[in-house]
Amino acid sequence: MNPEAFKELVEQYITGSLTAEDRAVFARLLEQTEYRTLLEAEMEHTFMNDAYEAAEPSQRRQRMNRLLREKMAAEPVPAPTVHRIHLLRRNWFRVAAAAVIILLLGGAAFYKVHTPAQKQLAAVPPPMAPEIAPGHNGAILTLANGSKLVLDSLKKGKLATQGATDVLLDNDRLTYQVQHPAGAELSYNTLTVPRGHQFQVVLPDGTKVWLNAASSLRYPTVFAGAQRRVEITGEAYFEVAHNAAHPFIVKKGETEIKVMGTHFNINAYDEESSQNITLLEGSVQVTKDNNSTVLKPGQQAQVNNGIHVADNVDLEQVMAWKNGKFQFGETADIQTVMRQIANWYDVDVEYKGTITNHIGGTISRNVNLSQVLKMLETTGVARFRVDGRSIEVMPY
Amino acid sequence: MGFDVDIHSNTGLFYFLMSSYYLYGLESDPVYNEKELLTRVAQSDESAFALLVDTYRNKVFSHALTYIKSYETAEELVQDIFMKVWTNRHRLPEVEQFKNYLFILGRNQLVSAIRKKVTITTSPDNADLTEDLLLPDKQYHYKETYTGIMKGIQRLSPRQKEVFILSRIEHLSYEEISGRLGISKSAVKFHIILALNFLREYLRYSGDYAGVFLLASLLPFALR
Repeated sequence: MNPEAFKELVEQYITGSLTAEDRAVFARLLEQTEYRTLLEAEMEHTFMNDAYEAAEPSQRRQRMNRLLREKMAAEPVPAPTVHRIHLLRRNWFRVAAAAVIILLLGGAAFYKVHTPAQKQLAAVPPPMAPEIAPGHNGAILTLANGSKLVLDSLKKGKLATQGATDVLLDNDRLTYQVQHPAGAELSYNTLTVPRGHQFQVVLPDGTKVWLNAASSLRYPTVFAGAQRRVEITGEAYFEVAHNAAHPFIVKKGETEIKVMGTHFNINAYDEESSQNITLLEGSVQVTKDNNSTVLKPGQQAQVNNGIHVADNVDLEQVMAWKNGKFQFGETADIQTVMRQIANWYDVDVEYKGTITNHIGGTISRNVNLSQVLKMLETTGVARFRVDGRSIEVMPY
Repeated sequence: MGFDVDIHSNTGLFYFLMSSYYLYGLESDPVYNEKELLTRVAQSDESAFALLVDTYRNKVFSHALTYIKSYETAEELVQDIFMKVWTNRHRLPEVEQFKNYLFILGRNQLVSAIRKKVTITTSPDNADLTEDLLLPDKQYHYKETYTGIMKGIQRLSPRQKEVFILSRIEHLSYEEISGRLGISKSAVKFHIILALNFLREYLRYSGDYAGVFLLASLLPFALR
């Protein structure tokens, strides 16, 4: 068949006027490379000339953008090295990009034994390994009807109306504004922050919540009853709006934290040995089963089977995540350090051998993974090997 | 073309998205520089990527729908193509002509979708549906769907509607339509293709997927 006749078949196919016989002929021709090449050339021509482009309905535009964003959120790909330049444009990076200092505590003595030359060698990453970028702002919001919205920096403005409440997104922060508080129907939203992300929300009562990676918060879109009740997983920092008449209650499993108006952090990752509630300001009451204790600022309730209260907690260390840092005290074993890294860089961790030394120090959360690992290696406590998105941890 | 389709999903919630990017056309925007945009995307700049997607999304979709003839498959292809762009964004600085690169990313999937479409000579869905239509309790559904198609035809632009009715309902050939309306044969084909693409989308959003098949059996050649 000559190319012109084949082109005619293609046109009949797209205008829906192929006869049954011609359709069979067309199908058979497409088994041959030569005709597939002709078809490709014809399609390339019509694409390059926008031959069949019609106006795009806004519904389709919105739907496709949403699908695409969901895909992007679902399949994070390791960013190329240049990613850091991009990060520099972000405000929170500028704020947190202050000099990174490693304080050598547990590993200091060990470090001295090794010559710098050896360390340099060990710290050099494999030449072509792709950089793993740090986490960034982003979350998934589940509305009362079960539909899910991916929240990222591309969005701005009113996301939804939930009952009497408008849900707004601006500057990477979600805000609830109650429009008609009276007679509002009780509905719940859930904010889920995946690994490699962090997010902030202002609840309908004005309470601010910062969520760390791999965490979630469930809350009503209007606080109607005598109590303001929310549930969390993972780690969150609360600045609760004062309202003595309506105590604010944070629930995680069997643990309840009752507050009037205060600032506190709760670290309740399931992998940690205890849930740690740290009070910065005001007063909170922590209850689990029949145990109950009231915390003073600077105290930390460590909840597992019972409640243990620790005094003079290093608040800077507890709040480091919110301030864009990893900070480890001398009590931090390698597992504690690596759990935080795994959540923030969305990587898996494997241990080869036993490591007993502790690591202390401060590292920015806004640098690529390879830099963090390099700095950890300088403590002489552990060595790392990165393979894709998994890290092998070995004794030094 | 007027487009006023009711969507029975929660997409209405998403009107806020990236609204600023839609305020101006890219061709007329002096700030738009594709080379620079591609460099920014390569640096993982998501807002640059959103702008790039905005520029080409409709072109890629219109083209895919024309050849693939299925709204769902065309939509998936568009997602796949842009995901490939994003996943391989480090390659963008080397891309000489981005539009052509987009075509190449979707080319193989387009060809195999067309082959699939023409190899399945009798669609089982179509056969089942025709069988179904003979059952008395399906008569109401049939009538409703037919009404839906006719509503869709009413929403076509005047020229598309004219050409489509002459072709699909009065069964005139493209030559005859060309002669009757005093337009070229290729213009007739163009209006047919745009009308078909519009109706595929209309039927999808009118919530009646069966309509696509029904249209094919009611009006010869319509959506095949």
